[in-house]
Amino acid sequence: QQTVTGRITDPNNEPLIGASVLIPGTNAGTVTNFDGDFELTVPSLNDTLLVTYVGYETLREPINGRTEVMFLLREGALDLNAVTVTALGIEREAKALGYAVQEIDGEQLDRVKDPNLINNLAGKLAGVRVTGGGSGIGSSSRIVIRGESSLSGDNQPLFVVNGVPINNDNGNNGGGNGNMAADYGNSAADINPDDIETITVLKGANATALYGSRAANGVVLITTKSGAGKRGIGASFSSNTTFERPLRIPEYQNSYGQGAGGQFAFGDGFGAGTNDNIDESWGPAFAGNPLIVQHNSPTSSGLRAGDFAVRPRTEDGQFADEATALPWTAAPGNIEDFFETGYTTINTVALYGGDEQRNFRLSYSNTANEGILPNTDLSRNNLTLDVGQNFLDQKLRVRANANYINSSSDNRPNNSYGTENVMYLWVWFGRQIQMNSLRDYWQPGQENIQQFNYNYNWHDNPYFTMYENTNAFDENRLFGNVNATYDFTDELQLMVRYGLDTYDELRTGRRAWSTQRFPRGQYREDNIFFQERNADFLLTYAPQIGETFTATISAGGNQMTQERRFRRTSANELAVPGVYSFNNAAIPLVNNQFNSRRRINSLYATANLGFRNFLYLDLSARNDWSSTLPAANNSYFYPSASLSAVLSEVIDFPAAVSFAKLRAGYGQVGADTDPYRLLGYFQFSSNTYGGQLLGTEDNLLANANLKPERLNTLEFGADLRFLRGRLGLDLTWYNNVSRDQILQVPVSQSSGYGARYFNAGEIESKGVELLLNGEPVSRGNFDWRVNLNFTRARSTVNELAPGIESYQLSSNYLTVLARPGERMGDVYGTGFVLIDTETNERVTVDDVADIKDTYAHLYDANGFPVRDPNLRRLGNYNPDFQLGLNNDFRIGNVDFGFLWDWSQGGVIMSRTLLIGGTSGMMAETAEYDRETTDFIGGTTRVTGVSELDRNGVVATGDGTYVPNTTALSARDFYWSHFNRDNETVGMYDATFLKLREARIGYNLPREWVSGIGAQRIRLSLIGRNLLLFTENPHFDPEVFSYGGGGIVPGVEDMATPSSRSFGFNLNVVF
Amino acid sequence: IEQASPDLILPKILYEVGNELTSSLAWGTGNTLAQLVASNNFTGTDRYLLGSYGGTWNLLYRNARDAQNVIALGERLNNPNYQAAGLLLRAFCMQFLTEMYGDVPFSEALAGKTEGNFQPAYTPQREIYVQLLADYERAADLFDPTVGLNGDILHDGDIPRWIEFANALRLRTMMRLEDKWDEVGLSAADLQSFVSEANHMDELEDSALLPYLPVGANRWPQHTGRVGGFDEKRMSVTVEGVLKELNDPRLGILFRPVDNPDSDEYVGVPNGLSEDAASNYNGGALNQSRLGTRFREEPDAVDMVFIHYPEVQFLLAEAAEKGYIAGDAEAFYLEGIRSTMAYYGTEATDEYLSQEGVAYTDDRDENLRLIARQKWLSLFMVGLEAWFDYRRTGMPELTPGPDATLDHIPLRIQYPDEEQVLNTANYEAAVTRQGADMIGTPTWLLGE
Repeated sequence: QQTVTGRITDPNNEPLIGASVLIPGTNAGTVTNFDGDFELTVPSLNDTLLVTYVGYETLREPINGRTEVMFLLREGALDLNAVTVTALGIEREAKALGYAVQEIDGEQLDRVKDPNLINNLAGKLAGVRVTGGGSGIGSSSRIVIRGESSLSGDNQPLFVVNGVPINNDNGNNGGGNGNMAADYGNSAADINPDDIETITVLKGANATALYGSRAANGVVLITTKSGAGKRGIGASFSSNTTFERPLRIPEYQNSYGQGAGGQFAFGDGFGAGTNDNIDESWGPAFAGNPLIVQHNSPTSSGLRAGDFAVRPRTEDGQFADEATALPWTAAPGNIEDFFETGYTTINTVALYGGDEQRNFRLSYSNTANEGILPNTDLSRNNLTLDVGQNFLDQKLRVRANANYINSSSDNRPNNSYGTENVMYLWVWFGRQIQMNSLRDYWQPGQENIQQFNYNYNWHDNPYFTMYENTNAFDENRLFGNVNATYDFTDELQLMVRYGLDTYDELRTGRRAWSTQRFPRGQYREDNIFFQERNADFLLTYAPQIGETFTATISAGGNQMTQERRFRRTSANELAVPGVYSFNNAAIPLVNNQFNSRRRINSLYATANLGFRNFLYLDLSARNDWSSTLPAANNSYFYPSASLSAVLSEVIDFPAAVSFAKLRAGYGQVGADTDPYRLLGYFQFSSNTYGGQLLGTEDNLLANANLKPERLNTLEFGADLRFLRGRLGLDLTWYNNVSRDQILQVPVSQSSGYGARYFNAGEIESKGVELLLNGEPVSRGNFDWRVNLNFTRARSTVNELAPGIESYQLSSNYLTVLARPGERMGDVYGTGFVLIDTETNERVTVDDVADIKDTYAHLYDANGFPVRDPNLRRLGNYNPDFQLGLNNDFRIGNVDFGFLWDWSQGGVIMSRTLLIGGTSGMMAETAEYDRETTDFIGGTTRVTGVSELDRNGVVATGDGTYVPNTTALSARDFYWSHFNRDNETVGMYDATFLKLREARIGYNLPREWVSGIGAQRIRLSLIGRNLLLFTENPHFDPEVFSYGGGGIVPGVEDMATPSSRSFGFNLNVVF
Repeated sequence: IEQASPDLILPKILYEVGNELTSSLAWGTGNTLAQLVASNNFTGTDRYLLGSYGGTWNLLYRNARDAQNVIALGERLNNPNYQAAGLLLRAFCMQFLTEMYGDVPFSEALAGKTEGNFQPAYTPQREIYVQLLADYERAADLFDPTVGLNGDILHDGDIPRWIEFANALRLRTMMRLEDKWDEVGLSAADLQSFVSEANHMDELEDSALLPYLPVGANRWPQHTGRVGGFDEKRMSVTVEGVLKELNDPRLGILFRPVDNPDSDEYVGVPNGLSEDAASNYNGGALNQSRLGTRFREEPDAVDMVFIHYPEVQFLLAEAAEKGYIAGDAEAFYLEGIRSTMAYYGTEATDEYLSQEGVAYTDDRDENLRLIARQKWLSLFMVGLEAWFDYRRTGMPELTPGPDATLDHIPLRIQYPDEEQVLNTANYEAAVTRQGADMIGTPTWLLGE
């Protein structure tokens, strides 16, 4: 063995740090240090060195007996031999892959950082759709790769860190037993973006087959940074601080205040005043600012009018003091004022280093966030250690990686429609209410006992909600793995690995006395335990059989064991107000419990065959044995094959074509199901009747004959590069067919059961993905790079099951139905009865697209529109296409960039519009003077709501129709037109264009930096979600809602606004 | 199923069905359709924008399934009382469904697990009633006072009261079918022999009702719910007229004077007003009577009534007055009034009973009107029974409100939306047989 040393620099003679140097086909490899130097032990001085560096030209250089070799890499040049991480952590040359893989390096991820790494992927990947959560920072984000192929699952990919799967549960299970759901974040968000070296996204089944069942929706492979290839000790520090404001909040009217019939006066907030029981805004006009007693009116007793519990009363129960009338004025900014400027800081320090035999990286990161809603926060501490050690003359290499994460929050906001969510309050919040008047939210002397509010018969004071009724959590998580690789010979290698992901989470919920849902308060704890253990091995044989043929054959196995435990205890009344302890329970505790275990054993094999650096064939096969399937069907086998042909190796293309590759792949994945689906059981209600236990048969009929699901993928692609790599085009077409899905199918309850499990369905997903990389300008001091990704994905339902015409995927008023022959993501809802004015016939439409201009809405004799309860298709929530466009510029030491994200098409229903329309809150309800306008349905139009821009007719009784002429009051008019049951009215086009990221950075000149002992210092200003262009004025269409415990896409339902953030970033490398 | 014990399932059915009947159906729909209360906000039900009650449909079928499990477990344990109680409760749930919707899945229902039938055909309503009568009769016969019944939160193992419960339901059903006796093979003689041979409730305490409890999750839900939801319900103009006419002591029990400090009047709200008209009626909520304190301030004053003793008395009074059975119609009628008053902790004074409008007359039609009116009052908060009974008798006189979407009181509920999707062919067959799936379509029972 010999040692080669050298240095790698760019054309400006700047050292390239972390460039990789290796001998292809062997395990010999290293990375350059901070001076660009490397030292590599090579088997022979006749070998060839392969030098790669992300974004730079790749060089192959025979050593030719030298012991010192200098390299000069050109930036942005063709990188034909880049290595990428594939399934099971196997590193492969990208050109040998017969499937689409997209890789993002850590720097691209954290330049404009979001604490949730999934959000950092938005707009950057072809074929990937990211949707942010509805509860601000710390909420769950959803990622879907290549469209939705599953009718029953969450369609989200498997997350793998350093070769071992980790949990990415969506933490939206805080609801039930009287509480509304809160979003505690998706588990993969625990990973610190600063620790990520690269993210590789595997999309099709042929890429993911080796991960088996759980990878049917794709895989997000995360490789964390390590100290490998480092010489000596290095350190880095990064600090990221951003400030957040709501991106978009609804447009409210500012002409009329709370009340009904133009009348309002506060009495006690229960109805003792004039219409003070009404929480809608049909009250007096603000014009002229009349004097009216309000909840915050001072009284002669020195209290506020709304302090009903403590104001002096006469013998007959009336207030004995006098309240002073206040000017009745609009409070245009009241809701915006409630939001605070949130901030997020992420600080990371890392220490790393090593030598030939060992290396390490230790990092600590702290994330602190205060949300845009008062008293919401998120805190996270990540401690990561990665160590590697070589033994036995480098034949045995051991690596261990551990991530400890503590994440916590003192309060996560509730979401969806109901009093525990302040966003719910805003659609009912009187337009005259000055937000400041509610800050002092206890009645005097009634601290912990009675809140102060503007209305008591429906609502909670929003500050009371945020400060007293909290949803805290504290999670401790450990994940990581230990692996050892041993080279028996140059050709035979064994890897064994053990991975663990485990967490314990405690969620505590507090509800104060006088809360609408819990008049005597509540204290609740959820204990959540999760553990997954993976043990695997991989034996690899790579015979050296010359240059013409190459072959690598591997065989391995995995055992996955997963345990979940959930335990909830609630004290739904507290004896002493303000004391949150089970010992203070005034009534018996309510308990819920759920434990489960599952195991999958797997064996697999793979062969990678190459011919003349031109043709590559990959084959894989896997068999799983799952504990969740019946014994007779619990073993399932699935293969994959892919072919890659590097045409440019064999065809003489014109000089402009630098590289051309075609690829084709076929893959199959089998999948099991969740535990407890095979045998029926009886269960206990969480409540008793006076201590008598109550039992019932499970309403879901189990199925002892389930068989595994199957997903087949066919994929073709091309990778073309021109002009020595300055222009690159990667094109993929795929077709996925998913069969035998294990569905929880709703059945008529008259069968005795509400749903049953069975295998059914065929979903077909087709799509096109396009990646375009260009370097329009690259001249010394000025670079311009463009990166564009385009996605078009469509999933259709080919069949469900015999006798099943339609399958409900989710519902939150809007119903998401799968129907044979139709698209996945089609949404259905109801609207008004339609009359074809040309034929005088009542028409039933199955699709809003069928509604003609000649159709009119039917009104009844009283002037109210008549609702048609038949479902009609209102559109599809999936976009027609998505396009991400990133531009990076560099001028000397300054660089700047913009990421635009365009999502075209799709629909979304706004519950805010529908409900805020009935309450008189939305701007749309004050288009006309409420007192002088004749509100005639079909004649008076509601602009901005296309469904309400339609003629109205009434039946004459003889089969003909005449225009509606009956006028309604403003309230009756808007109440009957905006209506939460008329989903049609709430529909908006979900198309949006967002300036997702913008940044400007400055690399301090090298001489300044070295003056303080650092190697590199970079400062940048960053912004996320700076601009939003979309049809609707009320909300960001890029949200989802919750219903029935799950995510309901296509619906806006009182989500916390997404945020726009600005901030700065400092990176220092020592 | 082997491991489940019926003493855990039986109480769950009683509580879940009783609670649905009371906190959801009686409170939200029954009182309103019968114009015992009117809403001053969210007036959809008052205007007959009723929806399809999919939740109730599912709950009743789910509990009918559990009742079937109780029957099966009773057979396995050789305990006739579980079999009988299961039979009774299954029939109760199924009857409620057919009363609401008309034809419903029945003969083929509840066979998802046993026969794999997930799309049961709808049984014609006539056939359903025939079987229900047989089920009640069989249940009454099966009950065996010498054997225990554990988990009996209704009657604490008092089997004779269960027999009376079965017989009360049978009596209610026979009278419900009054106009269709010839089609179901019944006659007045059958009623007479049933009435004279079977055991019937003979005191208020025999009523089949489950109390809400003073603490915890078993409290009357309106006691802890948002007060805004409670305050939406107001005295109706219809009931105001009757209670005031009779100077009825229930006026101050079921309702309160208006909140306006300048008044101690009781003022009702008309049913069927628009949102705006209802909340502004008579100058707003301040001048509209709320429901009595027992419905809000007390956690356990409300009971989940399956069928109570006063109803049995009024049924007997009606049957006797019509000459179907022998007996003193007036005595049954007066006992019905007295026991209803007693239920509310008040008393029917001689003065009350002897006044015009209460006192029995020589006119049979007038007497039937009196019986129906007092029965209607006694059915306050009893499921949907006041509405069901009105559909048969047309009494007392009820008129849809000004903004109602129908010109008569609804005759049925629309089938749940899910049935259109999940049981399409059978749903369509039922609609073809019964008539359009609308609230104004008469079912077989209400048809010509």
